[in-house]
Amino acid sequence: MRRFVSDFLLPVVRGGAVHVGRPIGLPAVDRMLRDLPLVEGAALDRLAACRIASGTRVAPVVAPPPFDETTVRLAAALHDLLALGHPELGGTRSRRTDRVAAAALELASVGAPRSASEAVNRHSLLARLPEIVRVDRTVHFWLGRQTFVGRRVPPRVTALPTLRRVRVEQTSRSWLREIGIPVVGRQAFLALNVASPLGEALDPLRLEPPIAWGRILPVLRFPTLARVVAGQAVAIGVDRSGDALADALYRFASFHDPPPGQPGIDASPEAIAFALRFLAHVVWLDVLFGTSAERPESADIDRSLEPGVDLAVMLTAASRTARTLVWPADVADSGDLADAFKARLDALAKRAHIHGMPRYSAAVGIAELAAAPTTSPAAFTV
Amino acid sequence: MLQRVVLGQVRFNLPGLVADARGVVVGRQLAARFAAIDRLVAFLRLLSAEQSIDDLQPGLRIVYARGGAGTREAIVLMPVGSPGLADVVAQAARLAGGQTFTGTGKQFVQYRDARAPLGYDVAMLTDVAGDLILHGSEQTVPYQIESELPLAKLLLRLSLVRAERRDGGALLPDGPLYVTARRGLGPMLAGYLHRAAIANAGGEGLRAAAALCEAATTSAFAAAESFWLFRVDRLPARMHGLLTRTPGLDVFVPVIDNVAIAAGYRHPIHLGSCRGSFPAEKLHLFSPGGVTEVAPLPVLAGIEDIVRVRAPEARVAAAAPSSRPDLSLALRVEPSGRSAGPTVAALVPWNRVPWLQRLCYALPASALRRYRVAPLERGVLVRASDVLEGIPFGTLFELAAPDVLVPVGTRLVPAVSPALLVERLGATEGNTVVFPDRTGAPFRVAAGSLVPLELRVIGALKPARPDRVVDDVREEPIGEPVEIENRPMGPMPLWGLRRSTPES
Repeated sequence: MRRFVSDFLLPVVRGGAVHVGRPIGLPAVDRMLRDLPLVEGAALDRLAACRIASGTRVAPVVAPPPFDETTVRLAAALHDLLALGHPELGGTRSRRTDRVAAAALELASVGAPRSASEAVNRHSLLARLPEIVRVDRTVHFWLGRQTFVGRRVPPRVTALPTLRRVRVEQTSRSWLREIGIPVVGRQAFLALNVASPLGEALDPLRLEPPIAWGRILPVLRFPTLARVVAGQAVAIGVDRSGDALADALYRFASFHDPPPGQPGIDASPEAIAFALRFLAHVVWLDVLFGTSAERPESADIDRSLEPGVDLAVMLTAASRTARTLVWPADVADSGDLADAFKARLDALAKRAHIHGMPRYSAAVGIAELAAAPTTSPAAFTV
Repeated sequence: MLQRVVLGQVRFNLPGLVADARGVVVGRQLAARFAAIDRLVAFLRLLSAEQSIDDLQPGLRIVYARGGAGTREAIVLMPVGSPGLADVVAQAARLAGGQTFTGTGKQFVQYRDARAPLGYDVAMLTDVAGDLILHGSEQTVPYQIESELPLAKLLLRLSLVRAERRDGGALLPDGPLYVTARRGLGPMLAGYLHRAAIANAGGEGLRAAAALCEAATTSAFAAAESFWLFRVDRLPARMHGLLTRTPGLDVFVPVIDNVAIAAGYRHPIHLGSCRGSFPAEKLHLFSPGGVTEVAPLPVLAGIEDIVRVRAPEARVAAAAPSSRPDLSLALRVEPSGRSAGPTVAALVPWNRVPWLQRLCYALPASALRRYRVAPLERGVLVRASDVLEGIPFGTLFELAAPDVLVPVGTRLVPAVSPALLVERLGATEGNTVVFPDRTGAPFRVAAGSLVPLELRVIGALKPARPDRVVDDVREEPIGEPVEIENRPMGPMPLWGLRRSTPES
């Protein structure tokens, strides 16, 4: 029986060498669920402790995450995605990788989490996915060189280093950001993000695949986790994270994310309104607790390439279309807090006017869609 | 004489050889040689598990050739579609006890192995006669092709092998099945399936279709044997034993659209990867006794269209009584064309009660208080004190008289006074009389049976129990870098993975 927990699952959560071998299919999941608790009981205990530590970083964890079918499926899907880059599979364009990618997609298709604790449990398994690295080692020796992709160099290759003039070069690359997901595995990776959307929500600056509201909305509906995600956005930087989320909102509202037939929530007026209110909430948090000072905008200084323009355009359009999209119902119109937020809105509007007018009309359309009552036919026009 | 190919070598003595991106030498074709037919079958089985054989068509050929020493061997020729294909074929051939060669035309050289990771080339070309010349590490053998065996013919000739019993003891897999029946058994089986389908109607029940088929014959003088062919979807597990153990009935499990294999058996070769070898206009039924081909593809009719309908028996008319005629009439429910009043009740059948439960979450508090319900044998009766709103399913009722309910759009005839109706039907003291439909007899619901809906939906609430305090949750530090370590995948790395469908 393969030591899947000790060799793969535990290192993915805790750290260490993640053993990627033979791809795993759905028929193997039942076998592993039955046999692994018998064979690797101690490793499962350590895994639960590591998952508690990982999950506690986002929300309090009161019970060890269960080792259930969803856990094994998600772990096996991640394993198969990592196996797509295995040198023995013959490259990412072979028929073998098609089958492995199809197996990964089947495993990862468990749907969005149904509760906040389930979302945290799944996230505890995949939280360190952006940190996975692959170290490629090239051994230069007197007769040539040999490359080991993601493998440790066997001792026999580096034997007699002085005589054979052995020199080892190693390159460490991030699997997610530098090596990237192969095209054939993209659908499976998206399904993995649907299954565990908290990771994507906490990493709004990810470039490929970019953040999608259709995938993160299921986890933002839990207030505890929405607060965690908003806090992370403020910690990253309101302008940068707000730009990424605002940019994603254009795709979401135009039904480009998720693409037709892919899992995720479709854009609706209520969903778009929630997204706008979330963006406004992030800015509110920055007004309350942020330390960044607004620099004065000027038409003479080109700051269009600096972060924050898309956020400014979107919130300006939302505040001018319907105040309720940016202003919580329980916050008074007057007072220090209200004045501070109004000042921020004015600064955003000035910035949007100077740098962001090409997208302003699209942003207004999105805000109008969000503000339209659900019984109005206008709410369903694009 | 062979020589190993070295890294960077670009010129080769054997025509047609080229080095791929890895430096491995490969030609435009592969030739796999086997000393016996069983090794050839083993090779095809291994290859069909890893690779779709349809992708190798139309270049795939199986030939019998006689070598220089007089031995007769089977050789499989196939085009090299991708660099990885050659390795897959070589592994499969090695496992099956054969050898792999690569080349173009009629000259082939031994494919790479552990001693020559980049492959072999011939030291010099020999001028020998033959349809195929295979240059091996031991010797060079010229072959004369004697005959060719089409893959389709091989697939039809191979005998089935007993399959392993399924987990949980189930005799047949889930999914559609084909059942063949002798002529005499067909109508009885059709009736049996039809009754089973009716019994399961309304849910995900059994569906069946059938056709009368004739098997293809090899001789124009031989009479074609006809049989019934049924296609059954969602066959209940309780019927498995009947269909598999009844003489005259045979069950087949489809593997592709027009090929099915007898239940409990499997074909030596994965037929799913050989779709192109089976003509689309024929249905192939593989059984231990041989293959039955049905051409053209049978057109199946729904089982309900095949079952014989018996005409109702004519009853002998009773003799008219000779005494004076009685003026009493039976009360009848007739359509009135329009509703005479508001809807006041609904009878929801039990299979729709889950809808009612979901609807209760959305009903306002006034509705939960005003509506009363009575669980009856035929369903749940929901009665409103004035107007029933928000329940669009079930049978809706209006008042024909106080506490006398008839379906909406109907009326009672003869049109006697409401007071008389109430008195004669017993709709007094809070009892409700319901005419469920135009033909059924009315039934009475006692006043005590109707309880407010809010009492029914709330059920028995359990007091909340206090949450336990957890202070012994153990954490383990995490922070070490996560590094991929690729491990050897071994032979047949995709063993156990399902083959992806074209749609996926």
